[in-house]
Amino acid sequence: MALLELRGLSAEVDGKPALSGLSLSVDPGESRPVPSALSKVLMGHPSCRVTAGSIVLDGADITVLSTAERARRGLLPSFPRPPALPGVTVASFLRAALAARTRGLKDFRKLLREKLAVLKLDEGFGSRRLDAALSDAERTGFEALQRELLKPSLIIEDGVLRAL
Amino acid sequence: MNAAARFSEAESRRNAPAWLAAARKTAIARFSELGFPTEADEDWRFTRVEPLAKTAFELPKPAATVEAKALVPFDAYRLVFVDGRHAPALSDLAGLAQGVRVASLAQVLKDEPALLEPRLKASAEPAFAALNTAFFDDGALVIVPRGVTLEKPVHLLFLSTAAGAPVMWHGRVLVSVEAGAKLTLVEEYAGAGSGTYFANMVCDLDLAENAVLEHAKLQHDSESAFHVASLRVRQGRDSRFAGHSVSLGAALCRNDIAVSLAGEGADCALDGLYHAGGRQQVDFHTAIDHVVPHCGSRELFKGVLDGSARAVFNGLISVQPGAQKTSASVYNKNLVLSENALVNTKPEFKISANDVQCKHGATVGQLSGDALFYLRSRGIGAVEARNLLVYAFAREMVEKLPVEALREAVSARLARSLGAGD
Repeated sequence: MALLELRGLSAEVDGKPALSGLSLSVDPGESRPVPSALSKVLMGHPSCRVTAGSIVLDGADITVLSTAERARRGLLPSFPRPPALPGVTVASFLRAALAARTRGLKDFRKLLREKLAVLKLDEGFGSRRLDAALSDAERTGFEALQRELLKPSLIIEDGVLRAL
Repeated sequence: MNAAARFSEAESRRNAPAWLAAARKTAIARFSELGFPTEADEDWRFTRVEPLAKTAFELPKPAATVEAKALVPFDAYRLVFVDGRHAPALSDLAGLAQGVRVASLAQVLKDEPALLEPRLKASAEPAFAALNTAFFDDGALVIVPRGVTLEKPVHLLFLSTAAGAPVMWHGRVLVSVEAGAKLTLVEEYAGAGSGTYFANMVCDLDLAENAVLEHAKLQHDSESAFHVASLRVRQGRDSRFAGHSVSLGAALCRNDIAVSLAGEGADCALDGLYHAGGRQQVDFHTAIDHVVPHCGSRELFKGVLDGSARAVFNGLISVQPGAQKTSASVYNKNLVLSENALVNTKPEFKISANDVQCKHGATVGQLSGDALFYLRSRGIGAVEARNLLVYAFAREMVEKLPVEALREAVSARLARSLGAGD
């Protein structure tokens, strides 16, 4: 079964038509170029409105689900220039993301230490504040850390879908 | 019964020394002349005190019992007050070093009133402070003698139990940190009942030369409470004062904080955090007076406003003629979570010297939609995403608090009030 299936998807971004009757399917392990407007539409960004068709992930229609619920079901969009999160640390960001998926999350610190070691990232990276832009190396490390912990099934990059 | 009549009644039951009776009489005359402030008063333009002024408050009946387990425990020399009255059974001063005084003011008034005379000089006080001078019956006296470092904090806990008719109580705190002495002081206000009460505090902190005082005030009074407090700090040469104010509770909370940098080389760091929702009003008026040269002050207050809450921040820095080489900053940052919440902020300088470094700023902002979407795209729900950003905004102030138990208590209370999503 396809991981993701779009069935005649039409959508507006900021009130302007952006997608028109798009149908495609992505199988696990497959990468596929897509219109760049699709990233926002897939995540249910507040500026987007689906006018026709549907988005099916793992056989379930997610067209009207909240952004957070789509993410919990396996979508992980990457942000080339993520917005600043004043005062939020890498650890508090990841803890909140995991807590949203795991009831009674335990031993988060230990889990984070393990993943940092696996990815050969600095032990202190968890305390890095997301106030300002990360360096390219930090951003790459942070994204790898998110993939390790959140275990997405579909990574959404600008113009490319990568099914894991 | 009006304030003057209630005062006569209170005085008839008291057996105060002549100097105190005279000071109280001056104070009630002053209050009668001033009355409760109105919006015509420049210092009260944005804060409505009518609900307070219109409520008929009684003085509290003998204290209700409070169970010790209700208290936040941390290792401290502790004085507990219930409805403004010292509760010896809940207090713990075991192991206090010889020469250090931590005592109920009512007890000192009874046993050694002469000790208080120089500390309770009558002056032309504003209305609420005058009301306090006229009515206070208890509070705390803390004296840390020359050169002594108190290894544990002193915790002054004021619990209000009001359940029925509105009550008011007036407390006075007098603190002297003598030359070279060091003290951490935690002042906490909490409501145990659901009734309306009015807590009117005056707290005087005196730092002699080279004294070090870290002061943290945590106000989490019940939601129908009125909390009015005046904190007056006098700093001698080379003294260090760090003041933290956390205001979470009360229907109306007004804090006047005045710091006088009266000795060269004195340093003051003033921090504050307020969170208000519903129809809460929180008002901080701070005034740091650079009287002499070579003093530094840094001030940062952060606020989170939700619902139809109102916040006022007025941060005045005065630099007196001749107070050269002053370094001062005052910042106020607000996060407004609701369309109906309102902030009036005004950091200001009055500078009468020319060789000074002064900076100020104020911001009133909202959560960034992009930041919220980024968090939600990681699976974090809308409410949790909002709370994460709000807590991250406030955390800087929580981390500055002096006692671990206090940081935990404030974090937990903040999380709880954020969770309510009011």
